[in-house]
Amino acid sequence: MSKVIELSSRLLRNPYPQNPKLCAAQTLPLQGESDFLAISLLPVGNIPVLLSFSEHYQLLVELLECVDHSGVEIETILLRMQMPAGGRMPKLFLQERVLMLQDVQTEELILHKAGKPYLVIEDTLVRHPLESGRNNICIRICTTEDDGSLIAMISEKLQNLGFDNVEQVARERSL
Amino acid sequence: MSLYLKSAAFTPIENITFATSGGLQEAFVRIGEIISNQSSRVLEAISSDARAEVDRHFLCSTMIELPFTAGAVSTGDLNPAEQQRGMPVTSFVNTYECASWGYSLRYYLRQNPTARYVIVSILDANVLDLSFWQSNENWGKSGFGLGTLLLEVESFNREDITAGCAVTYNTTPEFATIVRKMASNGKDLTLSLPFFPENIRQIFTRLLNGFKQLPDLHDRWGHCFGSDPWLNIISHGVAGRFQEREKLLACSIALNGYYCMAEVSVDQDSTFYLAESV
Repeated sequence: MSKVIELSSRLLRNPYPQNPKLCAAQTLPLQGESDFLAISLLPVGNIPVLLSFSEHYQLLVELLECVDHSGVEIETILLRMQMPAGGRMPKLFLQERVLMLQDVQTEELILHKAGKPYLVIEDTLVRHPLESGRNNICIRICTTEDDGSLIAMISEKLQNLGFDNVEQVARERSL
Repeated sequence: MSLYLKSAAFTPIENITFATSGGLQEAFVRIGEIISNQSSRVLEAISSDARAEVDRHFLCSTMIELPFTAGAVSTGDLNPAEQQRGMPVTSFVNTYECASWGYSLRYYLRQNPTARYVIVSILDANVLDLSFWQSNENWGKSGFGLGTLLLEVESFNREDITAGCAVTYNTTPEFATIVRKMASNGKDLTLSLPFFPENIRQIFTRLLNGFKQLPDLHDRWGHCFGSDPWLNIISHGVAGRFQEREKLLACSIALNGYYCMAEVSVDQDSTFYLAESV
């Protein structure tokens, strides 16, 4: 019987505090009153921006590297990814086994029902003041293999990157 | 050839903005209706039994992102439950920009190599009416609309779909070189390329000279993002220009260097729709 392990946590600080930051923030060029009016319609949250686009990608790369280092075979990886991207994504995200979506849940449900092993990273890390989110991360792993080492590696990685205590929930795969 | 374009449709979307719709969510409700109607129309090309087998619908975009990212609308606004009866599950993919359709197909067909049909829509509409998206130096004038493709998978070969990313930042010539390689494989492919103004189009004119290709329709439609290669095929299809089976290579390139290609065949039985602008 396979199970789903869910790891969730909240980012509390910049994940790479010792690294110098490249000022790479870009915004869509706005011209004229109508552009500013349109942008002003968009909601703005009060959740702090704790990382840049490139730091977000670096963080995800390190989490995906945990999968490869653990030896657990995961055929499919879904990443929640909001646009704009602030540049080209890392190659790791463009692999055949990865799909990036605005909303992972419908795709995840299909994999779940099909009984396929998968890993989902659904984060709401805010990288730009116009972006909504709560600086949360939720990682769901569904596999029949022994994933204890992978879960330990991911939990440790999250804590090293400035996340709060990682909550872990396990449930049987229900079809 | 293993991917057959059973049916395809395009609806230009020129007048749906937050201002003309009374709000952003209202604009997305109108667009949701167009998606639902166009998908139903395209699916009419197959029997109801075959329709029941179509279990997934990818909705792709390049430039619709800010309203979602800012939390002004959600993917649920595009797919109200009352319109989803009898429709396949829809997933929204915009990360790969103009190449999102190819990455979605690659993912789906890898997951489901025995699927008979797959439906993909490509939506780009300037709902915030921003100047940048009207035109800019990257691609000239933009065009907006919704395109939907119904592909029949006769037998799937991995090489029928290519999804990749440029290695350099001189992306358009690199893309043209990759297209050139693919078109040089003796398969007698007609290229359907993205629409660009003359200054960018020269790259294709020079690097792809001598290869059969559909004409660039930038002057007519502007750059319609990921829809370009399909809109070109649809434009030819509605004019009755596919009287014999023809093999095409539909190609898209994104600003950040992602690209995709699909080798598809069309013939006189492929169904094409080109709707009035809304």
